[in-house]
Amino acid sequence: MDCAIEIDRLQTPHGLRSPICCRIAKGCMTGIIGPNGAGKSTLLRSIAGLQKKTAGRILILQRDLDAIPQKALAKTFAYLPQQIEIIEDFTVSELISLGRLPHHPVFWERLRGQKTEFERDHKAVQEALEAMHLEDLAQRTATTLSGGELQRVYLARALAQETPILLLDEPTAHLDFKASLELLNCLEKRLLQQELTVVMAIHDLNLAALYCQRLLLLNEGQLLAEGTPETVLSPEILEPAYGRQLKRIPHPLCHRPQILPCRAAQN
Amino acid sequence: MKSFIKRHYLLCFSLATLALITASFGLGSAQFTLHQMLDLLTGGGSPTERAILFEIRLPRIAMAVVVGASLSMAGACLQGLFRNPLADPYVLGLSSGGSFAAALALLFWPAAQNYPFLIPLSAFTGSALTAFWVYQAAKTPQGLQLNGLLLSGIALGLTFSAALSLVLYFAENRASDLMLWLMGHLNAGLHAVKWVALCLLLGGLALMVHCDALNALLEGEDSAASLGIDVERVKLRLLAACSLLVAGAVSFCGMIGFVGLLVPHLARIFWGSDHRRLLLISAIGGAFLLLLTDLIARIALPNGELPVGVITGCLGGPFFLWILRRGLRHRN
Repeated sequence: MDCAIEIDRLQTPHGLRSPICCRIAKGCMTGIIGPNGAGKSTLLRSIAGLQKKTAGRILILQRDLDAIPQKALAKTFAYLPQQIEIIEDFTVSELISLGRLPHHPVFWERLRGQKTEFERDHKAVQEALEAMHLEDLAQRTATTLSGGELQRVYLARALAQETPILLLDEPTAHLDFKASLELLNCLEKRLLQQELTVVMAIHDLNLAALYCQRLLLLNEGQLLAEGTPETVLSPEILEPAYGRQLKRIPHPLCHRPQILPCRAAQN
Repeated sequence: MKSFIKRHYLLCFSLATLALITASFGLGSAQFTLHQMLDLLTGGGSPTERAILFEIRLPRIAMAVVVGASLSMAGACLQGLFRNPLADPYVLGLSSGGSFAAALALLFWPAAQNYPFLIPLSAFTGSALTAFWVYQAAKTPQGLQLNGLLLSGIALGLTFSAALSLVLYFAENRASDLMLWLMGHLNAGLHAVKWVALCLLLGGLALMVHCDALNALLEGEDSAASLGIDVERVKLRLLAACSLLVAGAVSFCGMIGFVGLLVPHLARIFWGSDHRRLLLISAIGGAFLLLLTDLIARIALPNGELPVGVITGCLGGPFFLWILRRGLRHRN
């Protein structure tokens, strides 16, 4: 198994209190699951180089994260934060074009004769629009979009960044069933077309089971379990983390495990 | 017509500004027609008329253009950088910090009389220190606190204004000169225009180079960092550039308030917040507004003139209130 991200005894001041070691495989979708405050976002932010760490190191495609300059980092992975302030008057294609920034030469590089590849930018933005089914919305402004559409726009930007790794912090938060499925389907399709490594924090265990090849279960800043959905999503592993009784049934169509919550009164 | 203006905004705006420049040359206590002005340009007319046009009006008009552009570009950048439509060099205390330092240099640094560049230099030190102070005061581990930013800017601005008054109190025989400078004026002469223009050139260029980064910063710092922007370094550079722009303006023209608030805000309403456009439009719009207020300042009173800072303040105050009101209504 080729390894895209290797986390070695990582610790952060808040969030990840005990050292975390894990490896994230190349070319598959890895879900980070766990209850609120488990450290999912902290782990993602650490991988994205945005979180101060107290110990440990992270290797991205065999290179030490701290040694990679910011701009090269943005060509290695695209990070979609949980909250983005909406630029109200930007159109969808302008928002997606922002994803091309890491590929633009800065002023002094431009002075030395490096040119912006406008055609490649245009192509990348068009492909991202198509991948996320946003062609019809390209000229709409951000304020006129629904939450699901907006999230697809941000994911399209991450795709336009043309990076081998995507880090997504709860891409389906606040989205309804339909919008979540649309988003994840688009993502999965793209994953099949080109070798992408996707790491996402996700709350919905059942969606995680349907779309992710591997899962990491975090609780209170500790890595509780790691493996395929079949191994991680078992009541014995999940119950201590969530503090609730849970039942597992196979999905009637694809037989992936699905988790059903039980009401407290029915114990 | 409307869509034409929207598409060729730079052309339309530049033409309007040129027209206003021509009008500024022609109007005032002595009036010239277009024909007369052309005549004067080619060497005709009486020496008095030529003196009025080239020694009195030209420096003022040039000053209005460079100062207006400097202040609005700084305002556009600060509003974008701090993601707040109320940020401007005046509100964040940059102007007060700069003019306090400039006043100190004027009064207590004899060398500044002989070397005029020392005044913008000390103004730059003052406004840059204020900018970083305000920024540090509002910074928390969770990110930048925007309320804290505005409040600390206002507090520092007030402190420096008070310190300025103290300086004025001890200035005695030069107090009236300083008072006039503080109210904001454009009479500093061509030698001063040179220094303001230099600040505008350097600061404006630095802002234009970072316009992509400014766009990315509109979505928050995490998002910008993930787009490959070294957020801390970019912020330092932008604050330094804004301080330079403000320093050039305040060191010779005093406190001309609200240009940096009004122009970028209007530009954003009509042409959106893409900084690649916004910075240029703001520069032209700032020049336009200051030319207009200077024209009003010169022709409003039959004899004598008003300080231009007073007029921009009178316009800016109500506008500020309007923005606040509009923002509050939006939220509900």
